Amino acid sequence: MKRMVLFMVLMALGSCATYAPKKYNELKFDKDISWPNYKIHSFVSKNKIKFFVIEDSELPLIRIQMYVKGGRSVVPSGKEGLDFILAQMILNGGTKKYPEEQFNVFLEDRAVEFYIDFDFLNAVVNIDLLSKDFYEVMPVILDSLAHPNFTKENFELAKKRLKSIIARRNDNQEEIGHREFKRIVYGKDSIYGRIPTYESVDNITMQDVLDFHKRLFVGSNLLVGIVGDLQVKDIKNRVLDLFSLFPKGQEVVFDFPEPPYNGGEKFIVDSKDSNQAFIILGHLGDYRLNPDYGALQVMNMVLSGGFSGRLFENIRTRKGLAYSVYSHFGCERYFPGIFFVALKTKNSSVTDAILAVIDELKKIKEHGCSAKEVEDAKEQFLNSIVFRYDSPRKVMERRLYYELRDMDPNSFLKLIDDIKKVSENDVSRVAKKYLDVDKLDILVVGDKKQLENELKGLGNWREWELD
Amino acid sequence: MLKRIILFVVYILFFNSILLYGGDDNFMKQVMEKVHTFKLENGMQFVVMQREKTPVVSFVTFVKVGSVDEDIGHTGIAHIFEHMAFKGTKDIGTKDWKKEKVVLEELDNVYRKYIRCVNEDKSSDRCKLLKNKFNRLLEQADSYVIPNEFSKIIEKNGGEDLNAATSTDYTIYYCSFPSNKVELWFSLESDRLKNPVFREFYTEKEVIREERRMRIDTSPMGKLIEGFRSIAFSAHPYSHPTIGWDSDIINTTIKDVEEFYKKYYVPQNITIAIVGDVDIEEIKKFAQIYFGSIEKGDEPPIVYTKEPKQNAKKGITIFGNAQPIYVRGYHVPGYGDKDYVVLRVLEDILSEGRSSRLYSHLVLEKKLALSVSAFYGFPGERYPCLFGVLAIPNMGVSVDKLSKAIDDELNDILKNGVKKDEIQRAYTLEKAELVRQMESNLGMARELAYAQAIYGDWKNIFFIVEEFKNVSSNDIQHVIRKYFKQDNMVEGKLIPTNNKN
Repeated sequence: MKRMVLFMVLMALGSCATYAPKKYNELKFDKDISWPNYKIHSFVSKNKIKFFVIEDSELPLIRIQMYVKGGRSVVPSGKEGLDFILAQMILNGGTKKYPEEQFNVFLEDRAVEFYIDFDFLNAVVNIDLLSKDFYEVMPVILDSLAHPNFTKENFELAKKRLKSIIARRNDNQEEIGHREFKRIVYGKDSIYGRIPTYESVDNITMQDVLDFHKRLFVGSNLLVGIVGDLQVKDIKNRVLDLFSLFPKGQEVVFDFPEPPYNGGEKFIVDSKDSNQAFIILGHLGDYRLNPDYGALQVMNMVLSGGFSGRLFENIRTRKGLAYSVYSHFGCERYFPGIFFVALKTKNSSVTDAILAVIDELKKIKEHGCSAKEVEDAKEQFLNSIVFRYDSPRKVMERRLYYELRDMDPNSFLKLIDDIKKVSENDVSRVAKKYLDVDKLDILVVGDKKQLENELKGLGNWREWELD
Repeated sequence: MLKRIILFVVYILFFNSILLYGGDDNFMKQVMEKVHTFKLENGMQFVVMQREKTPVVSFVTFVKVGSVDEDIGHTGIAHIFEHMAFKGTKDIGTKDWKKEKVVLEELDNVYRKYIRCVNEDKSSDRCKLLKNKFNRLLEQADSYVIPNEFSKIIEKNGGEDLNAATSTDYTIYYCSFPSNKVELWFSLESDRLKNPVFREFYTEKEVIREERRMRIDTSPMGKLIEGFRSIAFSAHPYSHPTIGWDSDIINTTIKDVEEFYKKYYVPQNITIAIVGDVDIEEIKKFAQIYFGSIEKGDEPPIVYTKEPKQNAKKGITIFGNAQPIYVRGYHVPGYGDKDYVVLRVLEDILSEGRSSRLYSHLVLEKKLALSVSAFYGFPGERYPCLFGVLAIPNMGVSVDKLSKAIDDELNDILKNGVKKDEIQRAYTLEKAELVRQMESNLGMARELAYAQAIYGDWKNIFFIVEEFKNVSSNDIQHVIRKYFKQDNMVEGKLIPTNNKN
């Protein structure tokens, strides 16, 4: 025991002499961080499917991600909701050999995750399985995608589910706010603003589903990313064979109209009996290929980068006006994105909060920002790049993202270079050029009656009706 | 009792041998070999998993204190402390700590007098004077603050996933760093655990009240669940809302939070999990240097209150401007009971995946529900808790019809039992889930910390799932018969306001 004590004293002395706790600003980080360079193998099949594969044997898993070009944007006008109906009918119908319940049992006996989500530009099919089951499971899932077991009953079920979702979509202020703000900025009936209604769901026929499926699920329209515990040389021929069941077909060509744009309007959506309101304000953003993209992202970081941004600091930390406040400068590849600031605040501080946000936008537009703010934002971005590479899945997702948008596969590396070069002058310049404080659309989702007096001072508000 | 302990020991050894030396399960064996645990002399525990694939590391600080540990009058205090942990330390976030400290102390003195005054007599001039004094001091205190400096240091250094969460059973703080910043994390985390400060306290409480309005007051689901749990437990503090009642948030003072910190933030109540590209020896060294000097405190208080037998069917109906939601729960034991694993299996059989009973029957076949899920361990599992079902009806389907359909499903199991395949599938799905969890350093770190702190050993994550295989249809019927009774049930309904009359 005595010896033990002596040993511990020595140990303690030893560590004190050589090493004591350091304060954060006394630490030096000399080790360089490099990140793994995952090799992406790619090949194209006869039916024009583009494949991308990353070998990663750490875990006994394989994930297949299929991007189906087209997505919600190609749903015919008046048939809004067709995308959801199709996805549900594939998932719930299964195949002729494994119909409906048998399909789910087959997949879940093997712990397979399989789902389909529709985005604006594309559908995403996710298949996540244990690598040992790859050859057993893939033929069944691909059969369900290429030759779905469409039934009348599942058609009705999908419609019923969609109508139930429509009935519930106005239960949450934030959900209403984000959805309707987009419709205000882009135009509510434009291709960017339209949403399913009971009427559009009733309009959808079984033939519409068949046609939509036929148009989208063709080889020319598919990008397939495979990541996991496999070797390209072992699987390539089998994969080509498995996916040959899709016809070549025609690729969907993107062609988007310029959104009509007015701006400068104020709307309120009445959500009764609420003691807090959701506020969202902003205007059209810009295009992803704009050379100012990097500077715009740094500007947004200065405004809203995690715990470090100006909005967080001034609206939340100093004024205590909101739990979460954030901005986003959206840039899309084929049409302008949306710039917005959003927050929730108690009824009695709605005006204060709106004015405080506008003030922040004016400040950055008129006075730009300091060199230190830009340095901090850049450091935050550059020091955390390794997290953009910390899993091969993220690398694959980025690759598919660029491929779908017909962008240089090295766009991310280029963005890193661009951001390194951004100066405070660039941020000031883009803030001046792209933020339009006089043209802000403002939407408040809150209790109209309680907010009437509160909002008077800000001018005329119109009620925005929900579908 | 002794017999049980011996049994337990045998059982642990038995599973160890299967998992570690069995051979079929090479993968799990490899995983388990990568996890190291150690404990400092002051009782602080560490679980470290090496995963060299990418030069990043995730850190989780798990404190075994949650809203279940709060007293009446101080609900929400665990969560308030969690927010304060981002306000910096004596060195970080201040222009002059010595002066700031003096003002903060005076500020809280005045605040305590002020809230006493307004709670006793709202109109008195004395309250007004106190409020004015408070406002002056507040301004003075704020002049010392460098806002968000603590978080900014982390983010500037490439820290990601920075956040924290408070639940009924525990509080966690987490973030991830590039692997060359390991020591930075040790420096910052030990500083804030050792030297918490309560700057910007009163403004932050306003932020928390906004959080409450967001999560509960303006959220139909939030309102329903808050009401549901508040009536489910008459005596046990599982009834408290984790974010706290609004009046408790308002009336909490710095002094209250300091006392709370001293009681619960003692090293033997803290578990740290680290997963990523780290050197285990280096971690041990840093742990000793940065956390070793914290003195072991008194054992934190435990909850003595037991929820009495219910003996009645309870229910609550909440009216809201929203579509209907249905929830029910039955009082069941928490972790450590012999029925624990059986209830976990039942949870999966009822609602894990599209082939589960409730999903395939109520969602797909009968088209009654938009979604339905069984849950076990609500609102926590450190103490006896609830097993329940939450269901969202389809348009035009009443909550009563849905409730009846759930009864039918449970009765069907009572009458006909479950198939062997269903138990096997629950096992397969849970096991795959364990593998998938390993894809994320942060997810894994959260899981390891939780299991080490709540289950007493991180390995129990695996043992619990292995035990799924020993559950029989009879066991499932037994727990349904034993717990799923009318006089042990709590129901919650959200009904649209316009249906009120």
